[in-house]
Amino acid sequence: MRRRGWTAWTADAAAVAAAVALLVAVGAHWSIAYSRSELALAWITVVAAGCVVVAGLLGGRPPRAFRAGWVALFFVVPAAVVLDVSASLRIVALALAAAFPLVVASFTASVVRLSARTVTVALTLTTALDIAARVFLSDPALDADCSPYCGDNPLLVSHRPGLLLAADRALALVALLWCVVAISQIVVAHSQAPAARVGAALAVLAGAIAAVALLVRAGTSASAGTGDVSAAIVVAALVPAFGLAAAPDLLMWRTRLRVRTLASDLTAGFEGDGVAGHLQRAMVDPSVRLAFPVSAGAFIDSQGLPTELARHRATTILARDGEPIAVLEHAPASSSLIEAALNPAVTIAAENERLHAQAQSHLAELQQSRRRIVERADEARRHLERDLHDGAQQQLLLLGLDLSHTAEAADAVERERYLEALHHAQAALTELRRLVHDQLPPVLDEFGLVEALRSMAEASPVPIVLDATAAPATRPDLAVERVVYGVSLSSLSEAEAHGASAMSIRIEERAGRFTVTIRHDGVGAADHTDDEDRVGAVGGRLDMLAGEDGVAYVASFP
Amino acid sequence: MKVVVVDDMVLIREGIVRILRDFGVEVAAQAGSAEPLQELVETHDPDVVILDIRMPPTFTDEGLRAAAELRATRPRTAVLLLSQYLDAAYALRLLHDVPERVGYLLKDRILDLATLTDALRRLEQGETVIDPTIVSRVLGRRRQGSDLARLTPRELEVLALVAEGLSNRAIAERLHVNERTVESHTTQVFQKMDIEPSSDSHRRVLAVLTYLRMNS
Repeated sequence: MRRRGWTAWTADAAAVAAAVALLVAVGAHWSIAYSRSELALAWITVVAAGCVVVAGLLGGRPPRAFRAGWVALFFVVPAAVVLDVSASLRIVALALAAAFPLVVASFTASVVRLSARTVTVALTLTTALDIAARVFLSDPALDADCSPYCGDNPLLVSHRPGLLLAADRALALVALLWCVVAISQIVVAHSQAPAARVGAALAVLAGAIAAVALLVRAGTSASAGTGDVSAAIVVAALVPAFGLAAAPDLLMWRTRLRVRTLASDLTAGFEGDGVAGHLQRAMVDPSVRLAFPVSAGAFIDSQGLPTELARHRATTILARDGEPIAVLEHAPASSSLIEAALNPAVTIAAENERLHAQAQSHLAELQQSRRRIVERADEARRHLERDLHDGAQQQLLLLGLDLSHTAEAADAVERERYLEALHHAQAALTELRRLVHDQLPPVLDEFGLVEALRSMAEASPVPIVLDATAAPATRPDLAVERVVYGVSLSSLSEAEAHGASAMSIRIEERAGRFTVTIRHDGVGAADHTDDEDRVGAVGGRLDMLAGEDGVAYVASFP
Repeated sequence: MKVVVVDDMVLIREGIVRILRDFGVEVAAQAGSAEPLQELVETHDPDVVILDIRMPPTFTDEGLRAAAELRATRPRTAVLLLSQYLDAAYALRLLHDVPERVGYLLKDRILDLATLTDALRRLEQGETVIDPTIVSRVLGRRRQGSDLARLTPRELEVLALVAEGLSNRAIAERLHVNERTVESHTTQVFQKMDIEPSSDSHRRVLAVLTYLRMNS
């Protein structure tokens, strides 16, 4: 998945070249150093250079355990074999001192930014320069500390202790700069870094400053080229060497940062702009959009709403186990970044988001179907009302007309019977009208909820106080009005059945929601599933509050 | 008296026509929808147009709309709307849309000859007619705790008749009292309800019904 750009290849090549240069320089240095401690220090340098080579050759990502093993193998074992006991202890101490920055460097590498690499390269080059100075510009015979047991330096060009000291100081300065940059960037880039990591970074700083102090002190004391100076230089060289060993980590910082950001995005949940938002930032392409396939040719967005793919834009299919998870829509120019941006964490997050979107989409479908069921039921009641009006009611009227007509022509006795039948027809008409009105009265559709409730209040056996002073100016959805009417009607039957003496209905707009509060001083029924279902079906919610002085139903709709 | 009857149910329409003819009313024309109404009215110049509220195409309030349109072109023609709807909202809209010479009766009244013919006669005389069932419905539950509680039973009776559209004289006849007594009752009632007193039938029907609808 990771695309290696030219910068990465250049850095690797530079690392290998630096390692080879170090090996050559150290081999030469080894050949002129006879002291056993010098020998051991040279060995350490070889190991450090080996680390660089291994890191470079393995394409950048040897596991940390492997690197630690390498350190143990090449530091401790040969040192113990080659050297006497006291010297061995010294070597072990040096090995630990070198292993410590290695571990810390790998932690540091994961958090520092690009410019640290530049400084690391500079440090390596300065080290090479310093070693070269020691090899070519130092005559052991002219060094008071070394002359008793040091041999000739066959590579000597001329004895220039001043230049050697300058090279030492340059190395010290660059090492210090490296540390300052590394630390500042750790602090700036990762304020949320674990305390241990910050502590480790501070330890690197302390170690590096100690090494540099040692170097500078040694460099300024008496003459260059003593054993102390050698030790100091090698210790100072270890820091960049191991830093370079961790260079692949450094080079990975950007990807790591993205993954880390993604991880914190995922922890934060989907409140933000989701995976698409993350990719927009990571790819610096504000047009990035994710669509999730649901069925042939149909897509939904992260909210579960139907969406379409733009035809003129570049798309990349995100798949897992061969099954497409999402389609990534992006600017054609961002195509080269896609592969790098779509790491496994992004894929998992996208899959997660798809599941979320699917759930949302299913939920919306269910809600719509629920609403349709209620709307159809209401429509059926309207039909029933219409049929009763235009059918049964008219037939009864006709019957009444016939009866009154026949009554006129009949004799007195018959006439009495016809008129009685007419009364029955009239009573049936009245009863039928009441029945029809209890369905969905046309006044609700034509005049709105307030008028319909006012009419309900007029005919109500329980006195109803209707407060519509704070009602919204525009009528809500007809489906909502019908549901509210239904709930009011069932509350009224409940109030009537449980001996309420007063009822009130308040219609208002509360916090942007169309809210209807129905109260009565009777006893509330235990089961309101029917009303709750109807209110829920049109997207509202129904709350019931029961107190000593009665019950209240609050239906609110968005 | 000359009328035009508009109802989409043929049998009902014919029933209405027969009743009216039996009663001696001249039915100049009849129609199954409001469409040819303007033309029929132009041709026959009826005193009253009897309209069913539910007619094609939507079977909701075509009659109401036809009444309003008719009034716009024929201000002197009275309109009697026959309705299945008890809701006062329809009657109030009719009163707003068709000021004066307008009546709203429940359709069952075609079986109640006395009320129907009385309504026609009153409309011809320029009064307003509101079905007593609708008035009693509006008045029904409003006595407790409202301004109406301060009215005497007699005053309530007078108020109901005012709301039905009766003139003071008609009320006096109905209650077998003299007109002056009715006048003092109406003055009392309007004072208690804080309504501008008026002798105009239409205006006081509208005022009383609106008051009753809004002060629950």
